Amino acid sequence: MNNKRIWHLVIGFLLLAGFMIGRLFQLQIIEGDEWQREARSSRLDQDTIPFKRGRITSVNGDVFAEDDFAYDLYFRYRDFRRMHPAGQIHAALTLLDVEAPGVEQCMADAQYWAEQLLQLSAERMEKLSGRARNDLNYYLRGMFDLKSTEQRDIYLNWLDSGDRSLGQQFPVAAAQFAEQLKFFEIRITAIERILGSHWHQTLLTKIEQRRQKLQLMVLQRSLQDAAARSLQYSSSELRGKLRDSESRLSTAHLLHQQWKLDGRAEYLAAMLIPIDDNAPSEELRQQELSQQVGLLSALWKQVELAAPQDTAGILRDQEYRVHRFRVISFSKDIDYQLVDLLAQQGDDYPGLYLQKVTRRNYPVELIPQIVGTVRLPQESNLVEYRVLNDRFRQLRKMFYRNAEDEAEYRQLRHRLWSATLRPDETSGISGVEDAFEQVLRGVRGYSQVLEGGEDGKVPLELRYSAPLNGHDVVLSIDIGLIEVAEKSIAKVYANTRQRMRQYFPSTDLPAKFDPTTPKVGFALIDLKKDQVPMLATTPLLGRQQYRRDYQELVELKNASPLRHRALAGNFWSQETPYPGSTFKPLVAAAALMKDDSLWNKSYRCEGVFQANVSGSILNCDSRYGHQDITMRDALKKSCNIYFYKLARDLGPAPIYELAKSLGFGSATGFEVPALEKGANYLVDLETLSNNQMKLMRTAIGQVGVQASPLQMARLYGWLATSALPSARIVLEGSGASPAVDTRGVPVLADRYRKQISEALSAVNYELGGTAYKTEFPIKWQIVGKTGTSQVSLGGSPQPTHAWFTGYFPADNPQYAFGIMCENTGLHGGQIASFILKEFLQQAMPQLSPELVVQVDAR
Amino acid sequence: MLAKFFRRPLVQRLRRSCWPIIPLAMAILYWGTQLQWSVSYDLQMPSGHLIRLSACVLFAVVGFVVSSRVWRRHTYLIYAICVLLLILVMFIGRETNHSRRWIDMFAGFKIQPSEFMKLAMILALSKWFADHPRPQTIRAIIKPAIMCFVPAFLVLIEPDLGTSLVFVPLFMTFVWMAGMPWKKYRWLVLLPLFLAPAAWLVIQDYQKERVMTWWHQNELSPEELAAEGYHLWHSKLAVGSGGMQGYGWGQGPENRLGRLPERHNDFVFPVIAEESGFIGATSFLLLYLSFGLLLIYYASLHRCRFTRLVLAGVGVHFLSHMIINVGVTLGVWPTTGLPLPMISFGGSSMMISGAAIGIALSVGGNRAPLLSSR
Repeated sequence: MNNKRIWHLVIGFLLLAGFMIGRLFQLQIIEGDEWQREARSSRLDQDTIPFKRGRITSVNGDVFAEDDFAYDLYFRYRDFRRMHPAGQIHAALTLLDVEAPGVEQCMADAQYWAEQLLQLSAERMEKLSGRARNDLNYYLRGMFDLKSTEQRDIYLNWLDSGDRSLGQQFPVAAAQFAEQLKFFEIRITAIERILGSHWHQTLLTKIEQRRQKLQLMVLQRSLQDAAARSLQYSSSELRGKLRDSESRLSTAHLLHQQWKLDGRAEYLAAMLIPIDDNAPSEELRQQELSQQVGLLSALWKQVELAAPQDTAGILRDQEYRVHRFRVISFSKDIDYQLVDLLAQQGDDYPGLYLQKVTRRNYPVELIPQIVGTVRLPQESNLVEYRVLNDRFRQLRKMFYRNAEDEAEYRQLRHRLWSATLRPDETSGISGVEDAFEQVLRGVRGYSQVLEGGEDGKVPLELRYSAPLNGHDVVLSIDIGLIEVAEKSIAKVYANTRQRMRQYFPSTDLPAKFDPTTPKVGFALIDLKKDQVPMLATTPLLGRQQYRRDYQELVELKNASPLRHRALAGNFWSQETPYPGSTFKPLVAAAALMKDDSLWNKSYRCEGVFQANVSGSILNCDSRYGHQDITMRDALKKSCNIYFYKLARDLGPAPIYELAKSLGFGSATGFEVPALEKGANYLVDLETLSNNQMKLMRTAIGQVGVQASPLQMARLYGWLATSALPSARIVLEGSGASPAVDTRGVPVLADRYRKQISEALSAVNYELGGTAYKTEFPIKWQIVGKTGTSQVSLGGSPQPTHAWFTGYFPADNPQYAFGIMCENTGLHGGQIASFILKEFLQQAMPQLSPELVVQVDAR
Repeated sequence: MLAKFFRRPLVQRLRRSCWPIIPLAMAILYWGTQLQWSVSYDLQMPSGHLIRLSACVLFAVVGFVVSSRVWRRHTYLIYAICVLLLILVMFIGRETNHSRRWIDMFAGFKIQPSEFMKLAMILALSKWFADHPRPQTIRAIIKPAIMCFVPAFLVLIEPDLGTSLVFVPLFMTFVWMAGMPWKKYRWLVLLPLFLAPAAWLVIQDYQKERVMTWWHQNELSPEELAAEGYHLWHSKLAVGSGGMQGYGWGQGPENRLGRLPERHNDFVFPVIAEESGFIGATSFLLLYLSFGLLLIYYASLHRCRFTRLVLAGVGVHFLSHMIINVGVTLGVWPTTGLPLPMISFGGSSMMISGAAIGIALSVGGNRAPLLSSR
């Protein structure tokens, strides 16, 4: 042997050691920053801090919608299993292959099981597999509090000791366990006392149910993973195949053969159905939960015996993943007493966690259609989130990020934390909540804590960004006025029979009239402030019903209370009512603006009118006709034939142009456009030009025009002031600009305005006026027009709608209104005008105190 | 009086031996004690480790006091006893984790025959090749191969793959040092490469999983990092995050937060790297390397073949453990459970390390003249 060989040896080891040092240099120096970043990142605990969504309030400060912070209670079984005696006992028994009772029974018999476990000998422990033994060591040391180094050494010695029992090695363990047990029993009682009123079960029963559901998930996923391994697919590939029933059956047959299982392949196919969460197959669903677990467990054992190479390690792996990562919602909106308890003594309740969330509250039940609601996002809303998140995860996986990637990574992180809509975050889906989402929505905050801090001991808060709450949206709506309107409507409807006998004895109340379920839309515009203080609709829809039964309500279509009758005719399509005779003043205005001599021109009304050469007959409401009638009286008495002839002579263009410029056929400008879907139909000029019948009918507010009460109130606002109201509902919060450009709106000359106003006053205050019998106080100076619109459904006539629209007071218009009573079979002067009267009697002190009258006097 | 002391036979023997390894060994043992303290629960004094440390020193003293001639004379006896123990462990050994590696002695004391076998193997191969130097053919090494691989096989079936693998470099080293010509020796080097594919067929699934995890260590998914890749991932996190100077004693987050598994045992090196950084980790490696290389250097100074082989063998024993253990923690080799002698928690390992040092000092201090350093 020469020294040369020894030197070769030395060189060899020097090279190897040099290689080790080189590798060390690579990890610690070259890649040191990246590893430090990874190490910190693995210790980072990040929490997002929810923002408070902006409130929706009325101009008086009533809150329609606001966020409150609440706490949800979550549960993670892994922590319960590792730190709670019941979980530890259950896990220990399972590892020892003893049939473990549920966790609640484990807790009830904890002392007994502890005594049994203390009789374990090291010899028994050795029979377990390495992993099972390690796990059991963990649970035993946890249960009997053998965590110090000294006790660990004694424990390890016990493992080598042979047949000595654990209790003999640790004589005080039983007493220590009893103390610990008492500790946890008190805590369970404390929680149950607080939560018990909401639950009908004990805490441990609930936990046991969750455990069984998780076990179901573990077994099902393990079965799928074993199948994937057997067939040499990846897990996701196999799950894809299992989604199709034919492919699933053929896969099951293949596995059934390979594994040589008992029973039918179809049964195996049923057990392999890919699950979302823990939804089992039909076969399983019919069984009770514990039986489901039993069935799957038995199948798994069969597969384990038949194909150990396919199942090795899978069950434990799935248990780890499911127990660790599957956090279960236990209870929403928990009592603050429990929040306080868990916040201060969280460690005493292993497995239970608080999650701070925001809840949207709607204190006011009214106008849910306008306020809208929020909901967790659908998949289609999460496209941005998914795309950004995928890219973020891609960047996060990169060990080396260049400057550009790093900048993109930080930007994406900020967006995902703060800005982007997340799957667990609500957003508006209807009403103002939806239309003003960008205003109401805030920006999330976040906090980052480094576990162990910089010194490996104390957690260190690294970053904190306070959330930015959303902005409030203030609506012009006055809740008090809505309540008054609703009461007025109910009262007028209830009194209809009596009223008809009193004021309209010659008219029969239609058979289909139902006084108990009024269907009314009532809009009120404040002309001075250009706002909408009142929008009422009946039947009423409470918030709870709106949220609970939203889908069913959508299905009701026309009958659905989701329709806001003051805003739109129909939620789904163009079925807004015809305005009926309330449209006539527009025609009159168009005529006067073209030729003011038409004010004095009279037309002959004989009750019927042959509209065209083909002999089509049009009728007037007056059976015997109004004879020679001027515009004033035609408006007062609502003569149809007058307006037929006027339209015929006027031609379509002036009517159409004026209607168009006043917003007919377009959205009102109301800031929640979805609620006006279907409203505001206006036939096109070409049709009007080519179809005289249609033109004539349109002139009396039928067929060629559809409008909502709000739309009609706007028209009368224009008649009152020559300025078209914007009808704003949202006062603060951006986006309150109307959709309709009011710059091109023609100005109604003062002279014409007065003429029409006089005629419409006559409707209410002169004998023969269609609303005369309403007996409005003179002081109110109501300028209004009644209307009756035809309704047909599938070709068959339905009870007519009754309208009353107008403004007041005549000499200094302050408010414009539109009231529509659906399917009453009455005309506007028999019901709708009475609603206004009843409303103003209650509301006038608030609306216009100077117009208040003490008695019902003309 | 001092002169009288130094004239004592044992002291003279010590002076003649590779005594400079003593301070190096003490430094390593001290470092190991500090590490065991650092990884203990709540930074408690590791009293168990101190007991084992004492046993290590005791065995070192015993190993030194027993003369080299006694060791040489009884080498094969020791070897036979260890083989017997390896066979015995299969029948009376304590089953732990489905493996039988320990034999209970008295008062809770137990021994791990495979550890003793390593030292016995060094002695046996040293004696064989001292008596049969310069093997020229493959046939000439069949007997020592049987002598080596029979115990290796017995260790393998315990099962203990990591320990059984150590016998391979040990044998290869001895054959090389014995002077086999390169033309023959290269076949020995190539043999493991040929056998590797066949080995894949016989190793167990969890061992295959370890190899695949190591092979794909840079591509593991988060779930894999949390499961089969957990040890390696946290080991690299601990090492890499140590940076230049480390976090300081007892301050390493991976250690303190208990995220690094087996940090008192097979994954003790990452604690060094995390807490003392590149400077500390490299210093440690250089210290350990110096210790092993010093033994090998002293082997070159001796004429007696047995002495040379024992010293070199002990040096290789420590260095190969270091290379394998550290390599695993750095992701250089697949994970295998091999402790780091004098550092890792473990009674048998400490005793054998002490005995190996003692024997090295003993044989190194025999009366055969040292070769000149020329």
